[in-house]
Amino acid sequence: MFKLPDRMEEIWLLKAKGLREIDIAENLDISKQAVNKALKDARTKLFEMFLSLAEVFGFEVVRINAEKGFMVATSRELKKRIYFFYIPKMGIRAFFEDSKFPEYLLKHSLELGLTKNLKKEELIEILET
Amino acid sequence: MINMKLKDVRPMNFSGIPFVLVVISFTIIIVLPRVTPENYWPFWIFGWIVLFASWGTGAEVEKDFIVLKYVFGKLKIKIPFSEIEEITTINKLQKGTIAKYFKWEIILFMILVAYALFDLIILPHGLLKGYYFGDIGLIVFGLFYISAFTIPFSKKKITGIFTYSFVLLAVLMLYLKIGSITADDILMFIIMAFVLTVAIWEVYSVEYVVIRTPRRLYLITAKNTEEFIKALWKVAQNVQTT
Repeated sequence: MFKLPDRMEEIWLLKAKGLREIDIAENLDISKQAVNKALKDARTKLFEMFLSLAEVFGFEVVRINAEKGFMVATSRELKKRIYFFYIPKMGIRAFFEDSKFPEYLLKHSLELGLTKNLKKEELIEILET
Repeated sequence: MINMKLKDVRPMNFSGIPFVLVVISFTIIIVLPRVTPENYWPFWIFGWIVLFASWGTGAEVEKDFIVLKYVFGKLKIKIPFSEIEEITTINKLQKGTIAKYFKWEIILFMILVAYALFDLIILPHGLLKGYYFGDIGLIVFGLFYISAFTIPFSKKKITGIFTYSFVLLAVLMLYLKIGSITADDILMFIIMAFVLTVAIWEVYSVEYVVIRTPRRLYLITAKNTEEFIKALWKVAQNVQTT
């Protein structure tokens, strides 16, 4: 399963929620350098995960955001948009544009500040702009 | 360690030092001849050299960095892969626009259009038509780039409609300025429409990729982003193992 190590995930999630590196360091009682290193590693790992998925399944990559942990891609076979999200403790989850977005995904997007409401349309608008 | 040239990838001059060079060159090329009408040629040529220098000449992967080359290959801007937060092919987004990412570029074109319009208004009557066409050309091409960068790439037809309507606007501006339109003027407008067609083709013939780091945004164009994405994948794997 594509998943970040627990500690790295914790640091990445705090940053994705908008905390500054210095605040994360204070919260977790670690050095700012350790936070910075963990975030760099997390970004690289997320890029690698998303790009590997796209390569293996032959998806056309449109957008990869390692800061908030999502990828927008297109399935060449189905000619459909697919949205990938890195969800803490779950790993990467994929959703077709015409599928129902589960509540946990909408809540996750709200927590990260991607959206202001629990609405699929709002989330897609953000991802596609 | 990976070292490879990124084929058909060209960095754009929309941010950082290259954008500063664009602002300097525009100022020298457009404003200087008005301020100092005599002996501006050496500066004017220098302005064009500065503009060419701002253009990206190529890009490559050097170890864990993406390297963008400017100033005839002399200026290298290195982007550490681990600092990249986002990579987006703007033209493939449903509502992607360059304006969302590079507002200063749009502001620059707005200033250019406003300056040319002001200059056109204050130009006296009875001059050679080239003076009027110079300003009208700047207005039309400025408006074209503002439209092309502000209207989503998916709405290409709307950009096309706007673009050709600017030619009609150009006819109106000349008529209001000199009070008549001759056959020679019509020929100039046909040439203007042709050049705009080439400009539309040029804008839509490449893909636009934005690279975002915590400090800066970079724009590159590529004939096909597939190769670029594959190169990134290799870099990501390389960074993982080192």
